Amino acid sequence: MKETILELRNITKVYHNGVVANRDISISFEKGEIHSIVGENGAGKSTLMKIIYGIESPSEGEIIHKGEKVKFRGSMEAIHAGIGMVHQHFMLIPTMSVVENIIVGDEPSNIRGIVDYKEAVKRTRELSEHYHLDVDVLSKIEDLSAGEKQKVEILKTLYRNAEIIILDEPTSVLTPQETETLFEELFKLKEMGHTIIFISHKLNEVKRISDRITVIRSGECKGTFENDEVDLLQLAELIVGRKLLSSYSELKKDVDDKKEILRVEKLYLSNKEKNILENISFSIRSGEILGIAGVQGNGQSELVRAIAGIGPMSSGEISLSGQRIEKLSVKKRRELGLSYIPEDRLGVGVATTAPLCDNIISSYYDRADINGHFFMDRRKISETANNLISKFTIRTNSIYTAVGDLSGGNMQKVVVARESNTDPICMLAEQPTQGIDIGSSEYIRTQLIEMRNRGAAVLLISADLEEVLSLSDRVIVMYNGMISAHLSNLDKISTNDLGLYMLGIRKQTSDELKEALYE
Amino acid sequence: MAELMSMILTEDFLATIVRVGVPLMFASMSAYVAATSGLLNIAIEGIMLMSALMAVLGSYWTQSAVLGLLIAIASGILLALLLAFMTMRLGTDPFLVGIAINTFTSTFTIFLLYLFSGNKGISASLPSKVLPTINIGWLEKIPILGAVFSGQYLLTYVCFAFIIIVPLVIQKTKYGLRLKACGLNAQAASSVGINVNKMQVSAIVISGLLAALGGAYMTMGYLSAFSRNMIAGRGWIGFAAQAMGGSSFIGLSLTTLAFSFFQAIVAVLSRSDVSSDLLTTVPYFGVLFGVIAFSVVNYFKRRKLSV
Amino acid sequence: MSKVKINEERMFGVIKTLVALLIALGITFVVLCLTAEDPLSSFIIMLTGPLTKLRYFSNVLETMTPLVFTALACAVLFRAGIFNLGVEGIFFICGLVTTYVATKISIDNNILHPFVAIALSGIMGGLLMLIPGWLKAKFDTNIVVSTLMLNSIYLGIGLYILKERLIASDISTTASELFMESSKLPYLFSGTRLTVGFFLALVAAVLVYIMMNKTRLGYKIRISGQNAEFAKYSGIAAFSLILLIHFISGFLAGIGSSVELLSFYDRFTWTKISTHGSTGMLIAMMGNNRVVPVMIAAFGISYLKIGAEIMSRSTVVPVEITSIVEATLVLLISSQYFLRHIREKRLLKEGIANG
Repeated sequence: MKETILELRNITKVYHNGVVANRDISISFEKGEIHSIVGENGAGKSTLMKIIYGIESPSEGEIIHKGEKVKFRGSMEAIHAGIGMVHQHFMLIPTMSVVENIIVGDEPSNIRGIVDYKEAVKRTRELSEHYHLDVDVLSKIEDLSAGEKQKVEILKTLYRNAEIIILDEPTSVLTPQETETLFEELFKLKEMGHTIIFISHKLNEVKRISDRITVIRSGECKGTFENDEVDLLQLAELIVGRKLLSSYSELKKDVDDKKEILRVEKLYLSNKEKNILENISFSIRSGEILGIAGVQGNGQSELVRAIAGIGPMSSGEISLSGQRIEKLSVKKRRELGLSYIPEDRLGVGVATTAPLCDNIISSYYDRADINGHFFMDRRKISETANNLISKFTIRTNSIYTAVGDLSGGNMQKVVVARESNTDPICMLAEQPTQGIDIGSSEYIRTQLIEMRNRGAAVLLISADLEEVLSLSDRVIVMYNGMISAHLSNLDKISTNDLGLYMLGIRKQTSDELKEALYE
Repeated sequence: MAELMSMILTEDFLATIVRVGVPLMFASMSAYVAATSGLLNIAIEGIMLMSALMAVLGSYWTQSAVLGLLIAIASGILLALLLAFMTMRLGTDPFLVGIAINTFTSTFTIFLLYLFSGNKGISASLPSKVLPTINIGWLEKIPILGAVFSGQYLLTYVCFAFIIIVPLVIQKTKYGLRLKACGLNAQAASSVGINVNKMQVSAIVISGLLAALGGAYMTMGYLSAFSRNMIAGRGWIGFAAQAMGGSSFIGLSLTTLAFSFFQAIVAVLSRSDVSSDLLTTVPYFGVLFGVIAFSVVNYFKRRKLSV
Repeated sequence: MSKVKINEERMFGVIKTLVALLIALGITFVVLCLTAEDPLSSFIIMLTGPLTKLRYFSNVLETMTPLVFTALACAVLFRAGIFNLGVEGIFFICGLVTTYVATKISIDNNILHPFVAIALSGIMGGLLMLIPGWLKAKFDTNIVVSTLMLNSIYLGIGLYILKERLIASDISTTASELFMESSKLPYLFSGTRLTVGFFLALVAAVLVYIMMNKTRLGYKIRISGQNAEFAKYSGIAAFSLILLIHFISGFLAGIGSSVELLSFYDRFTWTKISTHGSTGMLIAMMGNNRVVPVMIAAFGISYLKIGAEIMSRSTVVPVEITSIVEATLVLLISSQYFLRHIREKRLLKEGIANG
């Protein structure tokens, strides 16, 4: 006998800026099931979850919880109703302990107002044992691995007696092994009668754990299915609404003149306690894409920032076409042909309040052919901007629109357009398709391959293993600030092997790693 | 120099440090509570100035020191709430609001002063009230401690009380834990159902209260009349002490103590024949070198990472 | 489509400003009702007074002259995202440079003499502003605190210099010797006290406008102000840029001080930090750090100040009542959400209709 615990009826959400995030969505969730919500980035999954969790209120429609119509004004009320949420980005305070993070907002106390830390430690320990979510409750969050942080997040919801637990893209920061552990934990929770709402765009994972699957595309519900009713391909087509490019390797062309472009040798970055980057050596030739795989936070970001010249390094050599660049300014490096698509689009990649035309020339505004020597040449700039807009099909009202008003995909296209407009000989692409729609992602990936075909060296850093494996010619794996593997024969690599390198369980010998650096 | 040393090494000098340090400590704590909740209270200077005047006007109207103090506190809290409303509800840059409030109060206090006393410089013509000085008989007899802890103004003891209460509340209570959570990661706090806005408003009210006490101290203890721009950067010194002390209450207290030391030197030396104009700059030099040293140390910490 | 959208945005800005002005004047009127004997006529005098005599209107432009300089000096820095509060200190100390040139150095040429005074003040201002600028660029020293402390330090040192070196021997108050006649700026028209200084202010505004909107330097300032990380990533070097805009800002403030003294003063009489700097700061904020609105705001605030001054002659209400208008305008104009919901409601309807 299946019992419906939560039901959404005709939910529509229109944001203040006029964006319609959800349109007439109806879904019902049963007690003790794992129910996945799938859809591409920007399809409206997160908004829907925020509505269930009381962070957003629906413009139209109603929510039925245990047979009663409810209206949550704020997450506090959702929490009281037994709904918990694990957000895509950790909602944890790094400098506080696990206990403090779990109890904050609902602290035990014996004297009014004073926190009873003894009781808090006892309760969280019991909880951790009962649900087999092992974590040292006294350690600080900043010392935990991503997998452990995920456990703390789940404990936080259980501490508040959650019956329904929403997990928003929980595996994006986990290794394959950690993901598997998480799934085991979720199965246990399900057996204990909890309802799991699992939000993801990774179809393998969804197929692996779900009882039922609901597909959302551009804010609309495309149906709920029993897991065995649909196969992967059908799901993918439902999500995208059209056929997908199956492989990028067909687009790749061989480049004749293969000379070494980027060379990084014995790069170190250390602080007082430890090496953040340790003995990093690799090189990339023209017409080659080198992928860096690894769990986020293992030094990839620091590495690419050091190469680009906006982050620090302690020692080592970086050369571009044979010229040492590690001491040069960002500007000099760019003049030598370096380009960089940064991971933090809003914080680093654009100035959101500035108009598109200002954003699209920022790294070469002083080039004679697009600007005056002292004065700004509006005519030439708008010509450049308009050319790039039509070439990259950027959807915008005008070149004067503030970049912050564009969609994520179009904003990223502005970045890619600018960074490729200098015909770079070396492109650093850091999470180039993170958080943007499939159409734009596909376009940007194609652009990277075209750049490679033109003879550029591309360094691709991505948390998306599929992306790394499908685009790269060679791959290095980073773990704990070091290179743990160099893989040149990508056809023979299984994701399981990759996972072992990513977790640091396996590491290649130094002889094997030497191959990353061309002689 | 020897003369200076002989002036400093006295019980009297310690008492002076306390006397000039109290408004600074109020300002520092005001900045600290706001910062703990994740807000910057840039308006401390203006709040102190406004409540210094309101203490005078309030006690003049009511002919009661206590009611005057309450009016001063209310005006301080109102200004703090204005700051909160502008930044949280109307989305104005906190720096901008703070600067606007500070500039506003420095002119508006003159407006009120002139309106009620007919003088744009000083409120000497208004018969206002001051709070009493408290002598603790048994303490007075102990050397050093007696000089520091007895015979001070009422608000000095209030300040001592807050120096104990504020860190206790932040470290031990539910309220403190939640406040810290708001300051360290507002999204995380809000995700567990903590009403971040409410917490921050409560913090800004406390911050306003502390600044107002510092302001009232200036006209109801330290001096007995209001003169234009009499806060003279004390609020900003508190702001600077918070920026340098960071989240550590002890660090904050020590920084404030150092700044009080400079203020006390001025108070002592002003009795000698050193140019009073140059002398007034000493505490500002002290704070200036303080923030410079602080930033230089941080700079080399960062550099060390990238040698 | 695009044109329409921009105009709509600008229209919204104008409406927002007008509503803010109405509210500010409303609050002022309420205060007048509480304080003045005949609030309505006082209010009308305040609003129309400057237009009743040519001399009054000229007073508005005279008041506006130094404010244009201080407001531009603040706007250049604020636009780059730097909250430097040092303009008022620079304004004070540079007045002493002018005083020195105007009282101690005799140049027998009434063009060259003020030129030297103004130029030296400007350069001094620029150099002094480099101190907090360099500390900010090099060590990231908290510029709010450093400039505030420097303001008080300049006041103390300035008063010391005034009393030790420049003090008048003919009168007993704290003031400098009389400025030499050759150092004073010539009048623009007969019948008013408006001097060449006003013309210089307009020239400064045009130059700053061109710099901010038409040159590569202005582009760099705007980009750095909007997102410093982005500027760094794009290869725009922050260090020299920060130094340069600090120099420009201090230069403007120094000139403003000199122009003010040589236009409207016979001797240096400031014994406190004047309000020119802080009012300039508020004007820069009201104008969102853009030259044209800043000029309008400078005019508007000067107009109000003169109106209030005329009013204060016939009532007990002091001129400081303008602080209410200033604060209200700054707070409401710079708020992101003030009146925003009106626009949002429309967007919401559009969204549901065609989205």
